[in-house]
Amino acid sequence: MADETGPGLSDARRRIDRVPVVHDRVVRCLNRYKTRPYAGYLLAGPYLAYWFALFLLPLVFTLIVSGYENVAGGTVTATLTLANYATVFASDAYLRVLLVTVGVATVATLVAVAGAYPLAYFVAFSPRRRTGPLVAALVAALLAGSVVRALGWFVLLGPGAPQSVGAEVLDGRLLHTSWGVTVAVASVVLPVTVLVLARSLRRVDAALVEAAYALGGSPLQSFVYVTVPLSVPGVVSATVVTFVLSMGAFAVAVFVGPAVPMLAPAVYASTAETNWPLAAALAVVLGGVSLALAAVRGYAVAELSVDGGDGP
Amino acid sequence: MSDDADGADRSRRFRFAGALNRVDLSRAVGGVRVVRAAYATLLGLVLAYLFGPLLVLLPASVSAGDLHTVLTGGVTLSWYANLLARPWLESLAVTVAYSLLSTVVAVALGGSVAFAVERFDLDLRRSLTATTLWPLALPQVVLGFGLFLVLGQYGLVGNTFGLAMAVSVFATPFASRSVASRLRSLDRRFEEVAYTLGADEVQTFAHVTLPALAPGLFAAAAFAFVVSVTNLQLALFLHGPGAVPLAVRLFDGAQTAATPVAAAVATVDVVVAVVAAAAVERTVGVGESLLR
Repeated sequence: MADETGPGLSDARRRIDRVPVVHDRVVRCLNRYKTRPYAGYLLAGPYLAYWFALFLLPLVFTLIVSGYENVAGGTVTATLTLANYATVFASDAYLRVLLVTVGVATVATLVAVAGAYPLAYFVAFSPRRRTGPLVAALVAALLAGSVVRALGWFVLLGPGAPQSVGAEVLDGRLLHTSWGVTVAVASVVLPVTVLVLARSLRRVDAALVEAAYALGGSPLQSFVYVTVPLSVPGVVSATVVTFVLSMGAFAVAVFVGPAVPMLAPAVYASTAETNWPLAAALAVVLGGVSLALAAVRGYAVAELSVDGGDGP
Repeated sequence: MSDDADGADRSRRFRFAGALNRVDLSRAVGGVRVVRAAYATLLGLVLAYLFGPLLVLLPASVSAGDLHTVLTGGVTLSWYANLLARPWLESLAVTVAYSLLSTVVAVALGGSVAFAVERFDLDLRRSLTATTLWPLALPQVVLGFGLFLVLGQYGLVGNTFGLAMAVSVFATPFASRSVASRLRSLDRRFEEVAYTLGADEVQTFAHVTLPALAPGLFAAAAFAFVVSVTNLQLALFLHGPGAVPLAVRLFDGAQTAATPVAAAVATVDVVVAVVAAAAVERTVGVGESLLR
């Protein structure tokens, strides 16, 4: 077929449509390889090489460096040791970091998922033309980045914040506290929580809810016995994603609670103090928990959803 | 609740059905349904909680005092003039340079892997999809630290190229997802018609697939670019004295001195993000790109 002239293309079009010099060779090559079973992997090859070099290799490097011994001044000696992990898990300071991080992330996740549900419900079950601007605004908040939202919370919680939010109530009282960090973290991760939850709720078959109505269920009964159970995979998925994001909160933790010991700023602080092995050990703990939870989520969502579910 | 054989079982499963049925959702006060009003209020509160910190940046950026005297210390636009001074402009140039490079990498690699996942019957389809999502599942501090170690081996810390490589790892998932969802919504019969009419693979791709895919590629590029510009944590690990990204300068500036200059930069950031999201919404739809 490659060498035939089709009736639909004029000669002029066909001339323009040719890759200079190598056109036939390119087409022959495509035709030869596109049906091979490994064709897709050839196409994904450059990406996979990139992924191994810039995603997997950094993780391997981090894991290796976490076992090295630190020498003051940004150098390490390649003698394997567990001393860095001992520092993380046995010193009061870093145990406190772990505890506060998990505590803040847990409460922030509960707040975010509870807040996200009504919003995600609205996004998922309203006509698209009404939710379009809202989804765009959520994504814009996401795109604007975490520094920007963290700075906003710094302004809101700071002393002398705008009267409209009740300066006399807040007036700097939440700044520098773990509650302040929790409130801010939950808000910063909220767009992702809403999007993950809405994505899952959109897959809920509206016919099932209608069937509940048709069988005589009241709106509240249909919601409680049909919609809520069907949204469990989404809630699980959103909870895990939100928890991982909250644990890794960085800019918010630095701006709102510089004194609140959080894991992500601790990784950066150790790097800045040129204690790379300790930073690596902290990163392994944070990354390990996150990837383990992501794996659990993948498994749980596949188990819970009717359609097998894929992706967040 | 029913009188059939498994009535006991059903009444256990629908335990509060009677109570739920007695709740009168249509009760109205002054012509407004209570439930509707409560739901609207709830939505409003959540939206305020979510967007409040972004909206407060605008008044903060025109505050004549400092970041903590918003709305009370007078109004000035002078902070925006500071953005035209040398350090910010240098940062802007560096940021745009590495973000453009990162966008090209993200769209090319994310696009090709999306094509592979969507158009080929792969045994490892799920794993391949997972590789495109993991960079978002890993806390960026961890990724940033690892990239700092790896790229540091090759002298790529503190320059545009290293920054581009690093932030592209975070940008690629956005690009691949946008392209994948567009590919999924395309009608493949158009391509089959092109083949039938005698077009070869290259011609079909250039005249049928690519134009149809263009909105998805645009969304991918817009997301990848903005995400590259606003990324802090990867930039923080990879920046150097010669290349200070905007996000890093903003982060340092807000930490050392709480001047509204930071709020001004942040406001510009928000405007860029809103413009990008609105542009994608008008072409393919944000929901269609990321929620599908």
